This record gives sequence, structure tokens and C-alpha cells, in this order.
Amino acid sequence: MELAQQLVNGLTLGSLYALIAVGYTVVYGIIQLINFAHGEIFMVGAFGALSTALLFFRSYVDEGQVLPFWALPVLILGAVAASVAIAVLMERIAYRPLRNAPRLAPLITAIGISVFLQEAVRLLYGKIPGFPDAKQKVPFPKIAVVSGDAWTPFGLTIQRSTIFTVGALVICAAGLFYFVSRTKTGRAMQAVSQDPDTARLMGINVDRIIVVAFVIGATLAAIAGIAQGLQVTNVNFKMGFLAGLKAFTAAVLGGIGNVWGAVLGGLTLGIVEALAIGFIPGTFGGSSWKDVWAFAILILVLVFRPQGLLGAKVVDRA
Amino acid sequence: MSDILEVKDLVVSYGKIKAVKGISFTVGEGEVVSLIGTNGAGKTTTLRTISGLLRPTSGSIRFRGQDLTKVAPHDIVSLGLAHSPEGRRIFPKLSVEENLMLGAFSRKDKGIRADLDAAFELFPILQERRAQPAGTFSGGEQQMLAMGRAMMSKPQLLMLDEPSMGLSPLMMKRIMTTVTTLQEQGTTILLVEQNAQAALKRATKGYVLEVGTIVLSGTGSELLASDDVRKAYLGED
Repeated sequence: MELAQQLVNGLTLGSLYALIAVGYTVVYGIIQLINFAHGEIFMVGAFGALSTALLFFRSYVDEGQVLPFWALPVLILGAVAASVAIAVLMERIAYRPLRNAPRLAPLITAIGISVFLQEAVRLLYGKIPGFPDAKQKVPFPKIAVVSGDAWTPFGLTIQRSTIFTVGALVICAAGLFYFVSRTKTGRAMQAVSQDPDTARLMGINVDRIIVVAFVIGATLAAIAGIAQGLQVTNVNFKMGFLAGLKAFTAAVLGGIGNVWGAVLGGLTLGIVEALAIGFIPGTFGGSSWKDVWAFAILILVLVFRPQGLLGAKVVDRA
Repeated sequence: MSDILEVKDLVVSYGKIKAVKGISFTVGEGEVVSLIGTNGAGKTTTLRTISGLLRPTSGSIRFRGQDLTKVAPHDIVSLGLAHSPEGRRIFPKLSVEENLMLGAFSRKDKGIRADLDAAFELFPILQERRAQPAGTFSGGEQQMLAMGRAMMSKPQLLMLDEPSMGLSPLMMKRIMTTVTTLQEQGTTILLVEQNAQAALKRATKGYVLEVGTIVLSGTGSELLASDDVRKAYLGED
């Protein structure tokens, strides 16, 4: 029973990591950039959802009432719009001018953007009329059906936010599978990731495909932002840091550049953390050590299987 | 024959090094024009500059009268110029059919299916293995796929970069026969080859490139008969 409960917890955590990890991996697959600002895209999504609630469902928020279920798609739209807008601007302003620069330049830029976005939200969010100060935690609105009392089938505790998170991952993964393998743009994306120059010779606009990759990552990160808001019932400007780092670990664990690897890596990492919390006794157990176990896994993978669980060994083309 | 491609005083540099030092040549409608020369002569650089992957330092490239030197590579394809690159460069993880369909990426007309059938007719093995990942193919099969893929854009000018490179003599013959077939079907071809004999035999016109400069030009048979070519490229004394 304890094991089943920890697996549920791990699945929840892992689904969240997986949703964010996809963003690292699709962008890496196309331009070999670790977009360290991706965690902040996730944070911006959470704040986008919060802002949407404040703008359109103000009376509910002020009176501490639960938002109606139909507010959920509206909040998702708001979150996705905010994340996508920031991600596209970031690509256009910061990364595109560095397209042919040495690899280190965009990497450092990414770290800069990450700090910039955190500070921008911390300092400026409260300055918008009617919005709360974001220097501390801000409560996330409750939504009917996906917030509220946990379900307790067979003695397990399943939070409603768990259903939302896992459901979101299943839907997003299915959508992504369809997009990548069945649509013309999806195939173009695969072509660009395998050989950008030859993709150009096919008539594919590589810059456009890069934007598509950022949009996909931002969309999934925004949905993860809502999931996190529902799970912990508040959001803050720093929430993207650790979540981003974990999701990056998940992407590497699964094999960076491989979308299914990101999903598998996220779920694996979440379950490892949950099992470590539940079953490692004594000093090294409990939730304070879970991050240590997570990163220990990363180090082990990098030593023994650097290409990740699903990553292919890099072979030189003849 | 009106000229479909006109390259004039083309200079291309990598940093300070000039790889192509002011070459001029033309390709007429329906012709097969061969650029021959040793490794490092600037043949591949020339093709990559025509298709927009590299930008010239100076000079002009006109395709049906339009200057290409400022056009983005993905737009050049839809103008009717296909480039089958050196080393084939098929997409290894995509299936044969997906590779071919990517060749038609810039097209929106209804003839794509018919052209897929035409590609299968040209290379029946591609049809047999249409669902197989292209990376599992042999070099010769990959070359067929690369040529079929280039033809899928329905080009007015097909540029082939070293189609016979690394192939067995038998496969080389098969590929070169296909070049002739395509020519007979009315495709204009710009052929880059190290295999001078095979390339010149089929060429209406040929140019010999040496370290970035055209040192000799003429009809295919003229060049084949020239002493310089025979000595330098056909290994005859």
C-alpha cells in the first residue's frame, strides 16, 4: 500500500517534470542549446494563469471562492499565451542573433534570461494595477473539479491535481506524437534536427521550425505551471529554478533530443524521488534528501550511459 | 538554348581564404553541364553558394534572370532549383517515403503523388523499401534516394554533387545511366564530379576547376579529347 501510494506521488511529480522536460529536449534537438531559461517559461505560465484569473474571475478570487470548472480552459489559454509570447520574444531577441556564435554564448545568454525573467516578475508583477506583490508566494486560485478534497480509492490518497497533471501529460504526449510523426511541419522538424542544411535544401524555413520548437516547449511548460499551481496552491518567482533543473535532469536521463526520452526520464525521476522519500530510512531518507537522490541518478547516468535511456549513440555519418 | 543559370565572376571565401576565385559559367535549358576538378577545387562550394547555403563575397548568380545571392535557401527551392548534396545527406531516421515527401516540401500543387510514382519508377527499390528508415540503406541506395528526393521538387535545374562518390563501379554505372535518363526526360542538370570520364561523356558542356579558377572549358567531347584533361583527370600519359 505504501508502495502504491509512493508510485502515485512519483507519477504526479514525474508527469510535471516530463511536461517541462519536453521543452528542453525539443529545443536541444533542433539547435543544440540547453535553454536554461525554460524553467522561467514554466514560471511565467503559472503567473499567466494567475493573471487570467485576476482579470476575468476577480470576484471569485477576492471572495476566496472556487472558480467554476469552465475557468480551467480559460486559465490554460492565458498561461499558454504568456509562456509562448515570452518564449518567442526570447528566441527572436536573444538567441537568433547568436545563431552562428560559439556554443557558450547562447548558453550564458540563457542563464542571463533566466535571472532577468525571475527578477522582472519579482519586481514588476505587483506594479501592475490590481495585481498582488510577487516578492513572496502568491496564492493560486482554486478551480472546481481539479482542486478540492482528495479521492481515496482503496485507501490510496489521490489528489485531484494529480489527475489533472497526469491527464495533461497523456493528452500532450498524444498530441505531440501526432504532430511530430503525422504532420508536414512535424516531419520538417525531424528533418531539421537530423540535418539543418539539407533541410534548407528541401525548402524548409529553419528559422520558422526553431520558433515552432520554442512554441511547443512553452505550451507544455505553461500547462505544467498550472499543474504546479494546483498541486502546491501557490506560485512564486523562483518556482522555475528547481523545477527547471529537475526537468533538465529528466531530459538528460531520457536522452536529450529525444521527446519520448524526456517523458520517460521525467516519470523515472519522479518515481525515484518518491521512492527515496518513502523507503530510504534514517538520515538519508525523507523529503529533504530527495533532490540529492535525483541528482545522484543524473551523475550515474552521465557516467554509465551518457546518451541517456533512449538516446542513440552519436555516430559520425560516413 | 536560352541560359537558365548564369554565374558571373563568382568569388566565395571562408574567412580570408578564397575558395572560389571569380568563376563564370552558364547552364542552358536542357543541357547537362559538368564541373570537374580535384578535391578542394571549389566545386561543392560553388553549388552550395548557388543554393544559398553560402553567400558570395562578390559576383552574381542569376537563375532565369533573377539574382539569387540575396534569396533565402528555402525560397530558392521553390524557384525551381534542386540540389542533391555531396555525401547524399538523406535523413537517416526518416523512412524512404518521408524523405521523398520532404523533397516536395515547398510544393502545394496536386501533382506530388504522381511525381512520387515517377520517382518509384525511376528507382523501383525505393518503392519496395518505402517504409524502411533511410539510414539502413547502402551508399548506392542512398544516392538513388537523394536523387529521387531532389526530383520531388519538380526542378527546372537539378544540381548533383558527386553522385558517384564512394560507389561500386556497378552502382556508379547505374547512377550515371539515371543521369542520362533524366536528361532525356528534359531535366537540365549541373553535375559536379571527380569521375571526369563519366561526367564528361554525358555533358553538353564542361568546365575544369582548379583551386577556385576555371582553367578549361568546352563541350564534353572536346574536353575528353584534350591532352590536359586526359593527363590530369583520366590518368593517361
